[in-house]
Amino acid sequence: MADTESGQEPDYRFTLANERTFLAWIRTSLALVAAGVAVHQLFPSFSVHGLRTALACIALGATVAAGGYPHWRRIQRAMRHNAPLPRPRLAAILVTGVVVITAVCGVFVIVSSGR
Amino acid sequence: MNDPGLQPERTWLAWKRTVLSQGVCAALLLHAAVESGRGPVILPALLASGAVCATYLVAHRAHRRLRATGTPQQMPAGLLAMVSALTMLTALTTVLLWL
Repeated sequence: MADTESGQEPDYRFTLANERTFLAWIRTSLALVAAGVAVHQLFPSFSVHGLRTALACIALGATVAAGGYPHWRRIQRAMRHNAPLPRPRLAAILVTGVVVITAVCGVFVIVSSGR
Repeated sequence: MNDPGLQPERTWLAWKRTVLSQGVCAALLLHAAVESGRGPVILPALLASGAVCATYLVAHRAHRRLRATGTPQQMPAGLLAMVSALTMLTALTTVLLWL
């Protein structure tokens, strides 16, 4: 692939650090999927909110997993060309997703405990 | 080339932690599939189990090569793409089957 072969080989420790970061993103994605499956098991099967939260968690997990590899590539390319590191888009997506899911769940808890 | 220090060992541990996370996910998906009783729902669990085997094999071979030659090798980009794709597919099939 062109952008993992052009430029010069970075310090090996940076390459390994990038690889470990990629694996951390994959583990984050897997944790989100596991959380979604757990939520799905905890709620009764007729609960719309339970299914929605579960699907949101798993979908966010899918997005993070899909974004992990391009993220690794961008950083590897930046290191090879001594360019500044790219903006942390994947982190922004993850945080936004978690905040939205948490907020919706919070609203649900408040509304349903008020009844 | 400067001394990579303990980085290869740390990277090996990171791969093992990832395989562990994949295993937990596969177990949960397997449990959910058995609970639901519907046939197709086994698919994400199978994908996740496949990912566990594939990832462990890949990482183990790379580590053995490191132990044998003493010089660290970068994991090929294609293998990282495979891990990313398998994880994404597992999650995607779960969403599609539960919708």
